[in-house]
Amino acid sequence: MIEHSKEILLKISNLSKQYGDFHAVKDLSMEVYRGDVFTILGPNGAGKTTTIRMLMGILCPTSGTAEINGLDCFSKREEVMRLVGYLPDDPIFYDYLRGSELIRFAGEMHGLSHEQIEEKSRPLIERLDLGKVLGEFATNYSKGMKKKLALILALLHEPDLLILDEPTNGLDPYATRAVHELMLELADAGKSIFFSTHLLDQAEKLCTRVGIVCKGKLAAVGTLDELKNQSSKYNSLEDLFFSLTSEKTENHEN
Amino acid sequence: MKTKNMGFYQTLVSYGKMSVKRWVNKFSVIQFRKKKEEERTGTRKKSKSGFFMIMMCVLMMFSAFSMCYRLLNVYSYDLNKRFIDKEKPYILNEYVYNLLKKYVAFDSKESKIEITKLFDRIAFNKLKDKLKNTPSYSDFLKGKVKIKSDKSITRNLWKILNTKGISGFAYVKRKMDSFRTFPINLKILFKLLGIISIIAFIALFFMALANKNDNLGQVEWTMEWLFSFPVPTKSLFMIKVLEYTFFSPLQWFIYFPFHTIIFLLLDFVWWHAGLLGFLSTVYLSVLLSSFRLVCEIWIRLNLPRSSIKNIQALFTIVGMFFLLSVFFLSNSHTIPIFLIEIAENLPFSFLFCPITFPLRLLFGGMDILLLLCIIAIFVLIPAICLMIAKKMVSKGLLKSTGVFQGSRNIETTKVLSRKTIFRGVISKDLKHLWRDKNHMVQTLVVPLIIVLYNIFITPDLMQNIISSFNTIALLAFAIGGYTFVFGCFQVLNIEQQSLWLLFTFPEGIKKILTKKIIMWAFIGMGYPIIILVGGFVLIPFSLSMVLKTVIVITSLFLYAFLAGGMGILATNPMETEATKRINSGESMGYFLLLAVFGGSLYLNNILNILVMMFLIFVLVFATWQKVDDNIPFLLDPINDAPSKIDLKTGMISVFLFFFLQQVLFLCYLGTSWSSQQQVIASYFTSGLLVILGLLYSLYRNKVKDIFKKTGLRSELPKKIKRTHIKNAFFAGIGVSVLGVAYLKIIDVSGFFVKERNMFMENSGKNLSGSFFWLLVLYVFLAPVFEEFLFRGIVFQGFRRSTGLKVSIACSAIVFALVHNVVAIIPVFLLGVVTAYFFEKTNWLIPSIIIHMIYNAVIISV
Repeated sequence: MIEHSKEILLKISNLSKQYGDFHAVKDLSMEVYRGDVFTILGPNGAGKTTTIRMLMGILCPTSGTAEINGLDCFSKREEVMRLVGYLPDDPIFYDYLRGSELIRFAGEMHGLSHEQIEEKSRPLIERLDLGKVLGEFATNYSKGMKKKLALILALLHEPDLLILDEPTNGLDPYATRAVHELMLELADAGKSIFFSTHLLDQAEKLCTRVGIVCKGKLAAVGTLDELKNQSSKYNSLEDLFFSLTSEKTENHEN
Repeated sequence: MKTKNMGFYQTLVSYGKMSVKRWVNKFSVIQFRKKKEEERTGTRKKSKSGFFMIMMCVLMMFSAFSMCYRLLNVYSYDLNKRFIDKEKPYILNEYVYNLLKKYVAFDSKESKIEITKLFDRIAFNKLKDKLKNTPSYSDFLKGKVKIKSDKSITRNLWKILNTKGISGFAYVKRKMDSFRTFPINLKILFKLLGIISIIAFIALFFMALANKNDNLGQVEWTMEWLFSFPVPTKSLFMIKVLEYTFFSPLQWFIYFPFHTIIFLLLDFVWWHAGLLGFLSTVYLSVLLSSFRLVCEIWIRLNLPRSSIKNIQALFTIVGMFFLLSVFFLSNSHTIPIFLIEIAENLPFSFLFCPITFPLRLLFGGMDILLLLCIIAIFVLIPAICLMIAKKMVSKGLLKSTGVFQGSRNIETTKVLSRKTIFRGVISKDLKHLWRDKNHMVQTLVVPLIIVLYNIFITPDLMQNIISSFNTIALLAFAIGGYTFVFGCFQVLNIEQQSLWLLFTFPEGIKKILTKKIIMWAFIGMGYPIIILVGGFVLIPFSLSMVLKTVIVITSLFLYAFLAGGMGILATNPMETEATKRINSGESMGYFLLLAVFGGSLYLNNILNILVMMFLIFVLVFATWQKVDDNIPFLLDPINDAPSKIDLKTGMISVFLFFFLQQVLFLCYLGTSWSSQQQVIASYFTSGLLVILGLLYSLYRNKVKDIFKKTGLRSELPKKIKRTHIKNAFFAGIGVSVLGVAYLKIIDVSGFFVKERNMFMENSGKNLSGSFFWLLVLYVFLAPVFEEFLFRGIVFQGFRRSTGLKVSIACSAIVFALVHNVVAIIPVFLLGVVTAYFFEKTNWLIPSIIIHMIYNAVIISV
């Protein structure tokens, strides 16, 4: 894991987002290297989705910056989007478009030709077993199908960095396995993945580096081994997670 | 733990509470506390529609009441006129009738002389005119009202007067008094009202089913959720019927005023009338809701979701047709003949129809038997409907889970490799327009229906339209502008909650939205172009027609962007509830702007039109500046764009400045000051108010360094300041010399004579007085206020988004346009020079000095 080059792909520095008096994300700093599979772990409401939305240029940071490949995520959003594929936690689609039409639409918006779109999407559709429903309006899909469709849309333009918000949330075991295999394959092919989850075993299975956030703040960051070795009392990621996040809560309340 | 089954009343109470809460939340003014909480935790952007909704409701109710009043008034008047006693062939108006009465009653010499005079040649014309408008009943029956020859009228009149006296005539009082005396033929009136009531019932039924935001329009069926509770099906349906009864505003806007007014005019006490109106409305609404429930369930069960939308579109057309009919019937000046014929041929027992039953009850008095009937209907029909509904869902609420239902099994490969003309967002929006039949009907069919309907009910309209190219251009502009409300105005709204998808593409959101607006503009242009082409065919060609066409098409493009910008600003993409996502108040503002330009288009003064087009252009510019600021924050739950000095506030404050002057002047009229002092006082207060208001709003929106940004304060070193002021002196003298020279040239050449005389007259009236006050106004107040507004705000607003030359030119044109026509060129020049100085120094003092010198020189000359 150490052998891959330490080129910084995503750099978050002092990123904060404030809603009124409420700090959704507070002073977050971390780096993701090219080729990393980076997990951002945290309980509900820790600020994972807010962070991801700031990376996508959907939200404007209150202070601090996030850069992908040296480009600011907010002010240079258009260029950043060429490099990034995004899967939201709860993708909502247009009322009147079929799945296949959405694939076409996304491809066209990325400037791909129709032949390219077909060539790129065909294997993905087969892998995620979505072929049968693509003729149906996407609003009628179940949550899992929507998520699979959104994943295809995110992968169409072969992005360098995949940003996934709870990628397997709502998927059945088959689809979960398919997504996991896909992620590992992409990582092998040299792509980087930044994903959020609250499933610890998923993090353990997939990621090379972990960032644990709680209440909008970064609690720990590093490779799995580094984190486990911090103290001998943590035998597993689960122990670490609970001690870090619950400790934070107590501190906060005090 | 085993919970008890919920009884009907418990369910009613808890569900009722929820419904009431949902409706209260729609008027979000009341929701104040909750909103604050949301703001704190950042769950939702604030929406401002609450106050507007309440105002709208009050206004709607008021106009509904006045419309119903008018309806009854007109109908009973008309019936009086038409169905008055057959024995009395002449219907006279008050004047003639009184004359005749005098003659018969007093039989005095004087009045006899008067009457005979009346039938003299000279006075005869008077009577003849009156009689021309009063047809006899037999003429009416023949269907044609012919005006008889003067001689025969006189002969008849004499004959009747001699044989039957005054009782041979009938007379009608003036319109507004006609109510208290209900028409002689009350049966006909009630039959007419019954017909209207039935039409309204049909209209309401279809409109309720067509509602986009209600049950049928939504993806999730609320019934599914309700079925998850341990409540018997029957009570659920009953509660649903009650919800439809009390929370369907359109029903209440139509039936409540209609019945209340009828009761009022039958001399009920007001609260009796109100109560009875309420009961009648509840009765009718319960019937309506029961039918609606059965239909909704049937449609949900038997039709796939994609075709539900199409059915809804059809219902919109049908409902609109009937609703327009109701409006037409209650707004016409007389009762349409065909309606009277229908009413005459219908038997009176037709009022036993359940829908018209409240009317029948009224007519017959409070008969016990009838009352029992009505109660029986009131119980039976809903009960039957509920039974049918229950039977329908006995095999399950849904026939399939919906996911695969309606799937067309199109081969993926086929769709993916199909060739299309349009790509990207354009193709997406076109698909939306084609598939959302409801939207398509609203955009493309409803304008057509409205126009055709109006032509149908007033045949003269077509003649008027065709008579000149001006009206054709106006019609084209109006239809185009109207369709933009459903196209361009909705560009952001139409993205629904899928806006996130657009954010993942490597293309600017503004660029995408602009593309969409252009596409929708072309769609909206369809009808106008057809109408304009029609105009070219029908009207002999002239060059001014080409000019008009160019003007209409360019201004439509401007309005497309205006609608787009206003729509984007009015949309809150974070809002999940479709009805609240777009603020309908903004579309009212847009309609107002549409009407303003339509007016100047009709007046046909080219210069005026061009000025209007320029102002609209500035407005578009200002709106899009604001859009630019807001676009990055579209999906931010609470943060809005950081405020800056922008053109929109600038234009609004300029408008306010002049508007307030007029208003305040009216206020000062009451004082004992001289008219000159009044003018100055209103100028001073309005300027002060606007400037203070502006500064306060900038301060509230947390703009930093307000004084520095508006040029009130400068941090330049003193030396540089001094040279700037020196330069300003020279520039001021230069501009004023040019100004004076220009005025002299005009003097000699005789341009603008009329305008100048008018200007002299006006200013002479206002400004005759001491020279001191003149100096105060023109040399001190005007430069300070106007420089602050036009350079400090408007010029800066332009400058933020465009280059130096364009912003100098535009701000100077705006500056010149608000001044008198005579001096338009030198004022423009003044605007250019002051703007240039402001740009150089970022300080208002040099510009103010230039302005002062110019004004002083012009006045003294």
